Amino acid sequence: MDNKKKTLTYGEVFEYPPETDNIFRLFLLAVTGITIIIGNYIPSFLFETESSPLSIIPLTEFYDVDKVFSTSPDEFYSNALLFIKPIAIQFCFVIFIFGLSYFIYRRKPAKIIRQNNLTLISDTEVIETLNTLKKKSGITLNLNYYVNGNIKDFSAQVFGAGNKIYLKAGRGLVKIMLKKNYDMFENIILHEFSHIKNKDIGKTYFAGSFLKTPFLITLITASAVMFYALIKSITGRIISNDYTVLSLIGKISIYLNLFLQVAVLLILLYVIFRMLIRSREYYADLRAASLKSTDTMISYFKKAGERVTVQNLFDKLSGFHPSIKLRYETLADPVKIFRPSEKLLFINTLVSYIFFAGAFIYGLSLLLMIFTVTGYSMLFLLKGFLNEYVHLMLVYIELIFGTIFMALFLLFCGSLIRKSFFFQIDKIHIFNKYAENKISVLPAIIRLSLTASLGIVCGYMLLPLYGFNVLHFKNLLSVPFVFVITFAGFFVINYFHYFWMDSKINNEYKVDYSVPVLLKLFEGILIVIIFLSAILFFQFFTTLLFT
Amino acid sequence: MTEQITKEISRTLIEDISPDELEYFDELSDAHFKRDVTDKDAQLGFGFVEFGELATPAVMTLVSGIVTYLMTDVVKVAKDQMNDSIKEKLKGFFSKKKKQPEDNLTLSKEQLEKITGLIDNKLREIDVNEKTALKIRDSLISSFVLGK
Repeated sequence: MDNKKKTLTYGEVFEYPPETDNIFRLFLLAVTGITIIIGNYIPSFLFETESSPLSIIPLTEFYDVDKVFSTSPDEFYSNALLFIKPIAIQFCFVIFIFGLSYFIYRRKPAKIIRQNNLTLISDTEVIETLNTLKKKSGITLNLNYYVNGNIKDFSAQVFGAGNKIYLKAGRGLVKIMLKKNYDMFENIILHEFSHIKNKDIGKTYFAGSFLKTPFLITLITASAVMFYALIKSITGRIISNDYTVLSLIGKISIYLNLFLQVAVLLILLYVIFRMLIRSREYYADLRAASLKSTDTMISYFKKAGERVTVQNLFDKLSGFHPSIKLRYETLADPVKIFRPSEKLLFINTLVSYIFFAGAFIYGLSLLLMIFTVTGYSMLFLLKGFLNEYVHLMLVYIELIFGTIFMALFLLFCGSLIRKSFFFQIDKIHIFNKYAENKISVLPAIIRLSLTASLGIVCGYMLLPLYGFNVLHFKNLLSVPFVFVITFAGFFVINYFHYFWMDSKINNEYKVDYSVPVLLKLFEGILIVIIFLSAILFFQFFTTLLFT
Repeated sequence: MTEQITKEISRTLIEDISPDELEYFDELSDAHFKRDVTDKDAQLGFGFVEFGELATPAVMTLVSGIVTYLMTDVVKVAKDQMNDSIKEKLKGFFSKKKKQPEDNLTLSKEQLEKITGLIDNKLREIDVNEKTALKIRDSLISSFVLGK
């Protein structure tokens, strides 16, 4: 690259893919993964079966050609029905949680207006000024301008749902700051309009909606189902006189362990959500900076940063805004936004593992169910008309189609995970292109691969797959083996991705960080293989060590 | 009553320090005594904005502190014992055009130093820009010094 630029301009930041989309995708994966896991407990609660996480795996027995041939229709459909019910319930739970989140998201603007006693701005001069700034931001949507009654509020906020977008201005902002310090007023409004331009509202408010009632429903459902299963198990043992104090403690600890795992997953979800919002603040600052001189903002952040006390860990994880100091540093040197984040990659693989394991078993079961039932029905109807050979061929064709659909489903999961995963590697390129202190590539790739593997291990410990229980310490012996295997896998694909992108950059004047479909497919398959290997190797090594 | 006197004294000072703020002085001074309900970390908001160019909030905070000090250490009355004559006495401390020394209480050197220290400490805590802070400090201290 002969035309390397020394500094990254504010406008150029937006030529690269935004981190937020990755975090939002991660958030959706986490919600789906958690609702699948919790939805899996509900059938055991309703149908009086043993509560075992993701217990629908025996459904794979349906994938048996001989059974399909020999079972009578009555028996087959009655068996199928046993599995259809739990699958349908789990599926409905996921849909219900997403549906409820969407409902809350649509009603959120009205709630904000009501709770803050907002009134429409009537001053035509203020409206005109806001419209001028809206035009400057390149926004063509109609916006609704509201003001609150707090004269000491000099801040602003944007919110909305769909195409209905609202700006809430503090009374102090429009009544005092507009007249006394127009420059600062303009910066604050441009920051807010940048959120609209960056398309932050839909993503962040939808994600926020899940963390209200649906979050509680998920937590209460998990607690209720697990508590019920525990009581049922204990009373069952007491009635049958088959208990010891130790066995009861053991049972309690298992369910406590499961509850802790679900609670940790939900806390993780909360952390990801706040991370999502904070990342948008940097982008809004940078977009506003691309529209007007940054002198006022830089000096404001510098001064305010000196006055504000250092954030503690809780503030850092739960705040909606990054610290003033970090905002100042990113505004002063925008390339900092592209520094690769091990922390993000760790959470990324952890959540991806949970999603993948949940979706893999759930999706697999669902597809098997659909194909087996429709296939059996078709074959049963044709049984009298076809000879045995043709009949068998049809069974195999149906199975091949089933397998292709499952492969496509896994690839879809892989493509979802791929994009977020490789962005940390892409950031090395972007950062090194503009920063003075360049990142050393090999140590960075090793660090990123190590944290990615650590994420997989933590995901395994959190997801109670196949009755896994961290209280059985022997299970943990499989961790080092899988850690080494996944690290090797991640290192190879990260290195491959880095050098492929490097050659692309060297051959192009301007890189858009898009990836050809074939490479996407290849990388997607590799990611799927690593995650699948991790799931299977955890089982394999645990079994091996136990025997 | 204490709120009332803090408001009245602050208004007099604002007339001198930043007369253009008189337009929204009542609103700002009323807000000073209300519990702050501003969401300082709203989702997709700008974040908490401190507007240091405004003199009124700083003056209100300072006057409020000084009035409390004068009441307890100089006039030596409890808050609920405030009446019109004490109110006038307190206002007298801030008045630049002192009518007479006889019936008004005067400040000792130590008390004046204590008030100066109080002003300086508060100004460091409050968000107010340097220029406005200096103006407020000069105006407040000169009102006491002239009274001595």
